[in-house]
Amino acid sequence: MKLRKLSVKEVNSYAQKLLSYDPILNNIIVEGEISNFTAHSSGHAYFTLKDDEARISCIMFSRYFSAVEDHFKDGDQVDCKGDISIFVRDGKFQLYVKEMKKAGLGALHIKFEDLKKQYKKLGYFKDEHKKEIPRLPKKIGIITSDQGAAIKDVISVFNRRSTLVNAVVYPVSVQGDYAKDEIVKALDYFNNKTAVDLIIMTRGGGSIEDLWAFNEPIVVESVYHSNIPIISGVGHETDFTLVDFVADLRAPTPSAAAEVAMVANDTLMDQIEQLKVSLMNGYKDKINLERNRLEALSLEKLMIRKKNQISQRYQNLDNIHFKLNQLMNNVLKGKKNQLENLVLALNHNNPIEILSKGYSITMNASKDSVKEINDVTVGEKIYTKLSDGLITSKVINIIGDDEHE
Amino acid sequence: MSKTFEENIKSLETIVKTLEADNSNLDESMKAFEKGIKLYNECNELLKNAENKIEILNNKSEK
Repeated sequence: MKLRKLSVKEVNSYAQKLLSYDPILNNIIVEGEISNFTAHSSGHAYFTLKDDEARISCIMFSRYFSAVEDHFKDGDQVDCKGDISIFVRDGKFQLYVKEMKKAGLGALHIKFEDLKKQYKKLGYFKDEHKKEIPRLPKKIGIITSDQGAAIKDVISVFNRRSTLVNAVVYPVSVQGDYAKDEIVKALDYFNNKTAVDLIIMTRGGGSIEDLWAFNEPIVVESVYHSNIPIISGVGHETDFTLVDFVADLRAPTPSAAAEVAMVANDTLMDQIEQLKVSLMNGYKDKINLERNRLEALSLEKLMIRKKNQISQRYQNLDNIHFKLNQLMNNVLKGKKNQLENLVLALNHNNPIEILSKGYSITMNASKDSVKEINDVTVGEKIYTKLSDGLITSKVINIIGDDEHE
Repeated sequence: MSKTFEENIKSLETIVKTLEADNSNLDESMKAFEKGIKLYNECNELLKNAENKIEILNNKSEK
């Protein structure tokens, strides 16, 4: 059979067509390690996927690559989903990647959830095990990397908010093989070798692998058994580690951990000013109270008592005055009666009236009434008063009652 | 400064409560007030003069 000559392009196109018909190669997931990773300025990503025995070229077009959230670099173990095809121009057999994620990530997540369940069951996360965070710690122990941004954030928050910070930083690796042991050592150091009354455990954000030291059982146990209250500030707001759950307080970031650990100077200033005002008011109130008591007790009551006494005397005086008046009136009344009786008696004994009954009064020249015979002498002029006038007579004879003629 | 800021604040709070509670006599109140003002001044001084002390442990062998 005579072979038909084909162009290179025809060969490559044919192979491409064949591959595209294959139901397996059309939609596959390939596992491998990234190498020669290049993110091109066009937005496409080019890399090689390899394992111990083979390698394959990969391309991830920008519309897919821009959708992945993780960062990838050489050495990462990844799962790539896509299809196998041939780049006709170069005759290049390659994997066209549509989705890519880090391999093993799923496994760590599963492990995380398992551990979380386990410790929750043991009661490690319960509120009753949470120690109280001191409001103004005397000394704070900080467990973190002295390399990262976390320590800078924490110190800058301290310096901005407060002047009362007294802190010791125990530098540790926060990721990698040594991290868990160093963190446990640091916790042990603060619990046993130095007097801190608060510990901050912190590091910046990262992948679950980066943060894994904070999920290690040995670290979780250490945090749980710490006698000193612990604030965790691991990663970003959305990153959760088991240390966050078991710590006495979880802050979303390193800065937030520093902020909850240290009351701001302004707040303290306000607080002591408030206390001063309360103190002043309390004292003023007390003084006023005592003053009122004093005034009520002595001056005022004294005045009232005095007033009462005075009015009592006025009343007495009034009474006496009244009685005196009454007495006086009675006396006057008596005298008036007496006078009236006298007038009556007088009228009764009016000599004029006697005269009208036929009696008369005889008087001598000096108008003295003549009562006895010895009052007159013979020849003397006498005057007799009658009811309607006067008679002048001359005594002719005087005869006593015992010498009858 | 034998006492810490927080201890001073706590004492001050106690004194304010005592004054407000009004079961102390005037002499006691006056003494409490004087002590309170003293504590306030101490707190104020402490706050004004305090400086952050942040020490970074040197190397891992030291631990």
